[in-house]
Amino acid sequence: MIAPPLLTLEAVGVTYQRSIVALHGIDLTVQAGQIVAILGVNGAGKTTTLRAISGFVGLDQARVTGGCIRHRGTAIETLPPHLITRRGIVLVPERDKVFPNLTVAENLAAVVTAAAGTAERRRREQLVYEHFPRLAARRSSEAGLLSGGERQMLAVGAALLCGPELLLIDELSLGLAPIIVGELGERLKTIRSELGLAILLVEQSAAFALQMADHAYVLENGRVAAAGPAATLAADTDIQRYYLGTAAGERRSYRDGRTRPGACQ
Amino acid sequence: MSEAARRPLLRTALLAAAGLVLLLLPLATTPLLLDLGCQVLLACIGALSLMLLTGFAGQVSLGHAGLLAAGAFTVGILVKEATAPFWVTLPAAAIAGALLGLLFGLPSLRLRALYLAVSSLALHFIVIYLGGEYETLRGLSTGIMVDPPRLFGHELYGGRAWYILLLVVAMAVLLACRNLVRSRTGRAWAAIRAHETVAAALGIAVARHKLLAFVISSAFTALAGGLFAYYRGFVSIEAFSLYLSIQYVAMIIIGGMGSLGGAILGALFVTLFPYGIEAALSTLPHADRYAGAMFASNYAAFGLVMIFFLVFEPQGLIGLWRRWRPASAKAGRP
Amino acid sequence: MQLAVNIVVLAATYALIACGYVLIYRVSRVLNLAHGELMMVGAYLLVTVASASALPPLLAVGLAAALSLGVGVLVHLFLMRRLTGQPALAAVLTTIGLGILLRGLVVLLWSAEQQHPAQSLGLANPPITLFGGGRISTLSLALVLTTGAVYGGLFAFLRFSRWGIRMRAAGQNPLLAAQRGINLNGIYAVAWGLSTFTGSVAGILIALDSGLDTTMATIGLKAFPVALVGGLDSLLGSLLGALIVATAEVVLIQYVDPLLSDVVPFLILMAVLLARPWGLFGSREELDRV
Ligand SMILES: Nc1ncnc2c1ncn2[C@@H]1O[C@H](COP(=O)(O)OP(=O)(O)OP(=O)(O)O)[C@@H](O)[C@H]1O
Ligand SMILES: [Mg+2]
Repeated sequence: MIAPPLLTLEAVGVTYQRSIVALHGIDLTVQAGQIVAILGVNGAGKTTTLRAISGFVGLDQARVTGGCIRHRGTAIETLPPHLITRRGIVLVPERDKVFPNLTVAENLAAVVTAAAGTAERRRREQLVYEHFPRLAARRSSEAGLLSGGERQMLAVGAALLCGPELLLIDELSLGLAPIIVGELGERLKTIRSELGLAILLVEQSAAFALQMADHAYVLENGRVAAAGPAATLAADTDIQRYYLGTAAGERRSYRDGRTRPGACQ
Repeated sequence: MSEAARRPLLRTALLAAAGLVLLLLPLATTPLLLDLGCQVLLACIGALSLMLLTGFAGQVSLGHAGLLAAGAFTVGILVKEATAPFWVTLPAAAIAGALLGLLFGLPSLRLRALYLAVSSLALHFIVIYLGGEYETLRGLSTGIMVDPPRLFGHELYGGRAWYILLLVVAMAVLLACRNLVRSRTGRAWAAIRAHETVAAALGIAVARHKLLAFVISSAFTALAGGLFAYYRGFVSIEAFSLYLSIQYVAMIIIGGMGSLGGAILGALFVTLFPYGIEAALSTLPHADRYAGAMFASNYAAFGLVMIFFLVFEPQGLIGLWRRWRPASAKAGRP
Repeated sequence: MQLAVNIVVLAATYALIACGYVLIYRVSRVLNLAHGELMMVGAYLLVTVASASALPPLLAVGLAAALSLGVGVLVHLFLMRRLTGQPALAAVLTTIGLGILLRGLVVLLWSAEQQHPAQSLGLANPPITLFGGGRISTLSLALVLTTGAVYGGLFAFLRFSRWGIRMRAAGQNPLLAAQRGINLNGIYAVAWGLSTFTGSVAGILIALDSGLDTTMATIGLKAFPVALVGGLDSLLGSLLGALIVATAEVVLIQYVDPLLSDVVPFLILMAVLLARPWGLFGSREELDRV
């Protein structure tokens, strides 16, 4: 018998406020240890996909309306967020990723490490401060006063404390200087191979994502428009042109390109 | 006949029949039932005006009893100090209500839901304090007596006369509310309730419409308070506890937010509720033993019902009705 | 001097009650208008404990307070939990319904007569003369000291303990808190438990000092403006709010009109709401969240 994949999404649909359909049936797979990227233009449904995996609370007025999300074969789409986190699927959100009125140390202290003992917890905290020495220096300042990059580090650090086997990262590069993005990316790769993590990465910056990832999905209007090994997608000129913005200028649908091949030639 | 043409006709016929029954009711009942009817009608006026404010304009108030008290005290004081006739006192009550509504409404320009509820709570206590102050000042520690109003040389006295009068007033208020809700003002309220910032962006004068809601609703409420004073023949702050405000809020929740019919259903339910509990308790064995516990049981049961509707049936009675009606309509057709 | 003592005692009473409103609001953004009734239930639990057992007074008080903590947790688990995700107003109205239910139940279970738990516990309450010449009853002194201890404890708990930090986190961003593995329902249950506990301690001490009937719930409601004046999300604010309201109330009753007692908190509340709606110490963003 083959072990089920780490994470699968089968025809997952999500609706906001009972009427706004954000996802129309997404299929996606992440294998253990893999880095998978989700690409797409603004509003394509990337954040919604990650939020569906990590769980909603009632406050969002968001609901998984169809399909199935499985972690190692177990359906998790109805679990509350804290139980999903405790299964080892941990999100680094796009916005509001730290508690602004808590200090850096308190942000880390708030994390629940259910399975880990005190010693293990301390070891992980040590690890976070080792990987992100900037955080150690700002240990007792409020998270709301950190710079964007430091905030991102704190968010990743807090997520690592949760003891993930799958890290969901929404827009690592958002608002960060390219040099910091590169640095964070390298850190992530090191951490990932140290801890044997799988990462599901949402990105605007296609070049960065395709260079990090093993496999990639392109979303358009809440549907998967293209998928494949990162290297293949990076080499596909249509994809490059329509989604990933290497060809500047007019925006058209990928489907348009496919259904009217004449237009491309 | 086509479906579309039959519906309104049927509706009108039904409404006319209901009106006739309501009008003829006093000929065939006991004084006790008539008193109950009058209470329900008074509650209807109060609930309709609160529904206008909360259910349609989206402004929360926990100060409804304060406004009723304001109307009742206006009538009481005018009768006591100036022996004014009802055609002076009742409009005065409505005007007092409107002015207070303006005052109640001012905080709404800065405050949203919860804080607004709290500020109306504060105003409730302030109005009650002023009423109490008047009572002690004039040495009327038990309350103000109000003589029945005189209409065409006759004293308006007795359940039957009052029932008809209140029925007419309640109908008028219902009609006024219905027209308001369907007017431009009503649409502006709906926009404000849905999203204040968006409403402002659409060019709706948010502040003016909010204040208007408070003024109209409070004027109707104070009018109900004034009628209550005449009907009871007696005004005292004891009658306007915070519990009364809560009962009115409960009426519009239980009836169903955002529906005038809901307000009427809620008024009916909440007014009759204690009698229902009493009847239910008296069928139990050893009923006499619970007689002392009646008031408390009533309280507890009322709290339970309120919680039940909030948690399990937030659309209220009207929501239940809407859910059942299509089912029966479907069943009626082949 | 006596005036100052009266002010301090009243301020301590208000502060001890008000911190319950702040705790629940700060953690779960629910305004608990049943707080007065819950604190009354705590006091009535003491009546039962005192009559059903021969425990020494201190133990009886401890047991009743512990039971009330359980009551608070149960209120969350069986009632408020069902309202997560609904508009804030529905939760507030539900607490109003709960308050009415509890008032009815208290009369059904314990009767409407005035109770004197201090007598059944055999507790004496001799006045103590302070150095400045003011007098304070032993139990009032106990109340002032308890308020100090409770606030000290709450500050330390919220600042240093892991659960306290998680409570603050949940209050700031519930979704993120859940994503960091925090069980929101557990946190809310703890907040309700603690809030009912501190409220009940206040209720118990008041009942021991001056007897107990259903008007106690009204004292709880009067402490609510105190919490709002200080800022609903600030413990420090409710301490200051208590001092302001108590000073105004004692002075006005003494020199102007005893009838004012019931309105003073609400008059101050109106003034604050119009000038600084988020309270003296509250954060401004709170206004848009509700
Ligand atoms: N809270 C919400 N309420 C209503 N609709 C929403 C909400 N959040 C997202 N949407 C809608 O869902 C769709 C997908 O949004 P999503 O945030 O997932 O896009 P995204 O791919 O992450 O975009 P971006 O690159 O800008 O972050 C959008 O059309 C958006 O309008
Ligand atoms: Mg996004």
